[in-house]
Amino acid sequence: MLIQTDLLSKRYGQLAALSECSFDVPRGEILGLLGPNGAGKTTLLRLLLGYLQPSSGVARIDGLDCYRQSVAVHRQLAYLPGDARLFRQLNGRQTLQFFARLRRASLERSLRLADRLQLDLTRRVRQMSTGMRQKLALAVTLTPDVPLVILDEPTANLDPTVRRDVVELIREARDEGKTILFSSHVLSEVEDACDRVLVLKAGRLVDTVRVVDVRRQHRIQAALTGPLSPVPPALVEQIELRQDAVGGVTVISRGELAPLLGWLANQPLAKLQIEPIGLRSVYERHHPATSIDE
Amino acid sequence: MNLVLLGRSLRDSWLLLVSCSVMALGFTWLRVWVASHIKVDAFVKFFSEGLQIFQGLLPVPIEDLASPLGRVAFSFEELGLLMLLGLWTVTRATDCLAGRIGAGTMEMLLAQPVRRLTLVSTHTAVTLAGVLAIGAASWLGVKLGLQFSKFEDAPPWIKLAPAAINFVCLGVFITGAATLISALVRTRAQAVGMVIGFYVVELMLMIIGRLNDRFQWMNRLTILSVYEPTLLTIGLNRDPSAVWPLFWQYNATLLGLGLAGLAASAAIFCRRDVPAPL
Repeated sequence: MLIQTDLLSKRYGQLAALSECSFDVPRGEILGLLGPNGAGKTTLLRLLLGYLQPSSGVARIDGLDCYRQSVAVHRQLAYLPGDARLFRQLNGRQTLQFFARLRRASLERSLRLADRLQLDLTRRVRQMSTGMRQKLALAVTLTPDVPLVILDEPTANLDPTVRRDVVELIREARDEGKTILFSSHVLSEVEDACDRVLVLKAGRLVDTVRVVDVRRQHRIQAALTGPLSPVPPALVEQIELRQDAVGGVTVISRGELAPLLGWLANQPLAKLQIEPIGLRSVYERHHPATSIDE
Repeated sequence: MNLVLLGRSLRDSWLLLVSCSVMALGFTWLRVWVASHIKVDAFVKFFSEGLQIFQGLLPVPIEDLASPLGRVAFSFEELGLLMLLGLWTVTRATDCLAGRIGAGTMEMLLAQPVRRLTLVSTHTAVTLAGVLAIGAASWLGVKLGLQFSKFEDAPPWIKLAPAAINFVCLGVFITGAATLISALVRTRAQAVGMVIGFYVVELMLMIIGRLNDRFQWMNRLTILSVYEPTLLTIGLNRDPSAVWPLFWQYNATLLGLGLAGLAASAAIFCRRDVPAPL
């Protein structure tokens, strides 16, 4: 495991910013962090970076204590803050040079990334828009050859075209064998990019889902025109069946759809609707009243 | 020490440092030259007879202050020169931690494999080098001022060394105090506000302590009581054996407290949580 947390907690007086959060991340995985503002995503990332001292519990990256061995931990990772702020007096090229020299990383790689992100490197940071600054910081972050990349809402200030490029860059980094920890509000992006997703709510880790499993899940809704026959034993484990008082039925399928459809074809159903569940449903299960970007 | 950070810190601050040094040189040069052209008899009479109450505010008796050495040494107590030193030290020291945290650049820096202590020490090394440069420029300004002065018995510039050393030690103290405040707060504005507040309180303690014998104890509470460039300069030239202990005591106090402030700020920063920028 590259990342391990064990009952990791951070309290500010009475406020629990993060409570007893335990999870592991294997090498090469893209892990998404989902949750509304204040859910504890940034606190979790800052604990992993050693910026904050845990109130209790421990976080380890590559076996190193994130707080006590933060310099060694930082050799293993690159980090992009949600609102990246760079030295305002430097231009784009000088910024890339500075961080490349600090890391002893390849400036050529930085320049290639900048070119791909269509950055004007002659412009000073103070003259750049928020989106341009974020792209420049992304180039800084993706340059070093490190096993772990932590991205805190990397696409928050970017236009849709660049968002797509960023998701592509994240996938490429994974293909190079890097592990990515990626926090975002944008569900579609997380679903596109991540292998696994942690859902946080009020500082607690409330769900862990594999995106491939979520993609296989479907919700089937229909009106009953008669009584349902018993569910075949082969399907019992993979479906969840709910009947409501007005003659409707909802089936949540967690596996292959074909055997279920075979059974449903023989049931007294009308107005059948089948839809993929997606991350939105998972998210709304925990955060029902929140409106989120798609 | 990290050479990349050191280079960055130098490039960030060279314009301010050159400006402060040139202005310090020009200020003391002009100040000494002007002082040599003014007839001070009227001032001495004015203070001796009319405004005796304010004599307590002077660092040395008015007769000593009116001497060429006293007039030149007093350059190091002029508000203009102290403001230049304050501008450099407070600007740099408050930027060291609170400034970078507030501006958000600390986020990116701390994500690099660099120790927090290295971040503080590199920045502080440049600040202290700047204090030395401004001190040297001020002293050089005094030398140039003396060369072009109209003093009949101009003191040799080397005699102003105690004043310049006391000035540099004050710079070290301000750097330490401001960096310590910077390590405790979240934004640079808070740090600057607290430094100014601290200075105002110190100044009030000094003025009240000097104006009234009943409140002389207040003088001991202010760090400004060990910044006495004129007193040390005149004293060391007149009675070295009596004033040398005072010279060491004053400068050691300023240096010691300044370095303690720097050590404490590094210790605090190495342990504190780094909040997200506002």
